[in-house]
Amino acid sequence: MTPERWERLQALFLEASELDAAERDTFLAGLGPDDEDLRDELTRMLAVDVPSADWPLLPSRGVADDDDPLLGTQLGDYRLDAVLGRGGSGVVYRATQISKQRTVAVKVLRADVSSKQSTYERFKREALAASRLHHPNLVRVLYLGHDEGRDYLVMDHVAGPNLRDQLRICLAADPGQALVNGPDLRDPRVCAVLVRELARALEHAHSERVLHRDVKPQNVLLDAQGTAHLTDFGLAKDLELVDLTLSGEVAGTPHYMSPEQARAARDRIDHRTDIYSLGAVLYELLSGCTPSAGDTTAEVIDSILHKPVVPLHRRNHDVPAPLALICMQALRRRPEGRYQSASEMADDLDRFLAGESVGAKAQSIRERARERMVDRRLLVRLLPIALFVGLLAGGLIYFGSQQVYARSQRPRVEVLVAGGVDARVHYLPLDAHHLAAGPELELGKARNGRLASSVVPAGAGRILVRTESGLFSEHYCDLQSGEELRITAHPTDLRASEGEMLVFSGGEVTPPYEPGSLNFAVEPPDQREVMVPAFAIDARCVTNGEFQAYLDASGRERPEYWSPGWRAIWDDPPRADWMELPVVDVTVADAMAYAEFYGKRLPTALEFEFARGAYQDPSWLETLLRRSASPDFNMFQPAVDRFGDQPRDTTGGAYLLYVRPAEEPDLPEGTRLHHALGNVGEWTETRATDMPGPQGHSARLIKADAWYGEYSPDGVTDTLLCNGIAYDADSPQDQGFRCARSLGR
Amino acid sequence: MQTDSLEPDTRENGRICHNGRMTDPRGGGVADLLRAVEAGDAAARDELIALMQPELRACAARLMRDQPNGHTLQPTALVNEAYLKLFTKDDPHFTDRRHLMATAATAMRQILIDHARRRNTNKRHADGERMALESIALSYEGSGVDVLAMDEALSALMNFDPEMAKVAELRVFAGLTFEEISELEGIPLRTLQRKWSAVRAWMMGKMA
Repeated sequence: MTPERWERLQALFLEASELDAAERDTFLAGLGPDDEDLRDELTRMLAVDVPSADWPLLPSRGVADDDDPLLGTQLGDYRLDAVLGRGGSGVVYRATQISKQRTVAVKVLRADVSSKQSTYERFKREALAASRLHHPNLVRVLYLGHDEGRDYLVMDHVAGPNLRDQLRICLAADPGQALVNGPDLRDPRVCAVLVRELARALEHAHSERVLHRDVKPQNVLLDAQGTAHLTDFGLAKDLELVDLTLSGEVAGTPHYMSPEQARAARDRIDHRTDIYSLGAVLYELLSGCTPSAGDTTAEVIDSILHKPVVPLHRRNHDVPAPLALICMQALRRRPEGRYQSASEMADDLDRFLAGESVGAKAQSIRERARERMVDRRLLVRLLPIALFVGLLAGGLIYFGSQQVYARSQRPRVEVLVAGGVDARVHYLPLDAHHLAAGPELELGKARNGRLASSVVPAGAGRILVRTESGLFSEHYCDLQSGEELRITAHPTDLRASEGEMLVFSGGEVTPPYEPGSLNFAVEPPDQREVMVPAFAIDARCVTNGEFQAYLDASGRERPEYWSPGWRAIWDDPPRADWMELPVVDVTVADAMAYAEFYGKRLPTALEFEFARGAYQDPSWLETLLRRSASPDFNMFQPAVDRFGDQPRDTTGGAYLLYVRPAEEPDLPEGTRLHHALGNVGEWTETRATDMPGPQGHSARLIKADAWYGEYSPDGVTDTLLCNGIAYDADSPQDQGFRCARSLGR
Repeated sequence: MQTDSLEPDTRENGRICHNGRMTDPRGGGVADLLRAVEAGDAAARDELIALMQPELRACAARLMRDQPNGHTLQPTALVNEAYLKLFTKDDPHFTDRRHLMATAATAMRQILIDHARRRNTNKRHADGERMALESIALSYEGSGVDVLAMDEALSALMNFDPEMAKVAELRVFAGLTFEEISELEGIPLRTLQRKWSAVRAWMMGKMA
């Protein structure tokens, strides 16, 4: 459209919008020959139904409660009298059921989400799940209604405050002063009674195969008699309807989340998650603070996953020891260590209240050590402290836990060496940053190319294979107790890759951020030095040609997740330099398999930063940006549009247009790490420790990330990410990899 | 070093933002840049937009941290916060919101578009920021706005009515009122509203 025609269109529109429907038709039919080209556009504009005067401005938040548009209106048999609270999916009102003249609570699903199928399903599920439950300590669901285009849920009205507010009142009260209203939560026995009631309520819900999944003080309402009522099965998960849950996304209030919820390990969430949350509620009632700490969701989650809960008696000396044991038993990190049912917990609370000895036991040193070994991050944190205290103490802690661990069932590894040659096999334990967490352990000698199944520590590590003739290969593994792995090693000659790999002698570096973390939004951690051992890294990304050679040599098929369009491009590459372009659309598993096939591995995030000079040259980013200055990669629709007749395959279109072969002849001496930024993103071996993916997928840090572009009349504008994460199961279409290997010995 | 130094937003000539503060490797500050924008320097405007984005992202993460779960951020809140953070009341530019708001709105638009597209791929931003952007994107969806479609419509509008495209950006992504836009852009309020009704109908027709 030209500016002139647009002027005209506007004028016609303004004229026509003054008219009523019949007059508009006449108006449209009567358009002169000069304006006929605008008729379609004009008709469309006039037919538009503007949803609100403010469209497309977002509805503003924080509507004052008195201004709530539904207040005073009637839905079915219910008149909405006052706002009780607002949640993610709707507003809860105090309402009057007119036919019975009784007070109820009505939760109205927000209009803008009511239309959304998934939210509505959740709402309905909540209603159905909760309506099956009848227990004196559960808020009854009375009715699921629909009126005036609104979906609503009618529940018993519980008049009192919620447990959180009650706790605040109690904490603020004068120590000697008696409480006027409600249960006095300063008395541990009162807390025990209350939590026992909730445990009984959960027991009932669990017997009906309903999980609450969001047990927290705000969801416990107290009636005039001080009896607790658990409400808001908003996240309640019917055990039979797994698929409808929140796609594994972290859901719920972080402070009361169980570790398995925080990890978004959907498959591992069962009724014991509610037991943990109830334990967290008890902990808060008894101590005034939540068992996990942190200001942001990420920090809280980190705390739940990685920090031991501070023992209750250290928070509050006055808590009776048996009650503290009960609480800590519910809060075990591993579900197997907790009470196995809500009734067990309720029974134990009964025993405590009756003055009998309780079933809960203090966590044994062995159990604690095992939790620490499983949590390698914690070990990493302990080590510097231990070193500070003294090498001897450090050794005791480290080897002490090693020994304890040796008694449990450790994972095993079997190694086959290609060619049947003899080789020495070592294991290198890795810390959370995938750097050496201890000395190499000798696993044994592979005779005639075979090392029988050997025990290795649980967790991340590398299997290093060295033949007598100096060939070498290494293999990443991350095994849990009871797991077994068979590795086929293809040791290669490091000297043969001279010129392809850059050698770095490593050294102490101070990463400006938690090395396994992408969560830059939180404060930077205490900066500390970590050791990057000597390593070698490919100067270039793995190319299409190299990947094809690998497929041929290993007898593997092309990845099954490649789209037909992408396969077609591989079959008939439209660019002459195809074989020199970096390979993309490869999962981390396939990247690792490639590396392993050549005796290498993926670089760690720290090695990548080291190689691209992040620790040596303060202006590394500027240097890199100068070298990566042209917009290379654009996987979005505009690029595909510009790509024209090629298949509308985002990978193919953008890749063919923008990616460059990994050659930069003008690289200065000593900085031969080609495309350390901006050509394609590259997998690293390092897990993103603070960002578990949906469905419990783990994520890895990616480096040298690609350009993201946007096409505008002024040209392509770009955003560049130096770092990112990608989930292990994915094969990002702008992402490839390069290999690295350990040196030394 | 903190967030933004490792996730810079940059342009072809490679300017970078460190520490959530604005730096311009060529030596000029934000104020200089703004002066250039006022003088009609298009490159300076692009530069300011690029500098603004990390600030907006940092604000998103910061604001989100203070909010309870499930809270929805307004882009307006972000833009305002970023603006207040960049310019103190003592700054002579504080009162001249015109160019800055326009830049902020464009920066916000680019961030949301980038986010919407990124959601179609497998990349993720840092957590606080991701939640913040997610919440904004979701609330657009909640009010029936497809951010990507709107972006396309705005880009098309830019070709034949750049003035109203800018107004739309200010309205939608910086959340300004018509009174404010009228004052900023020097368009009489009534004219603005009449034009807007046509632009809006056209955009909705395009986006349908």
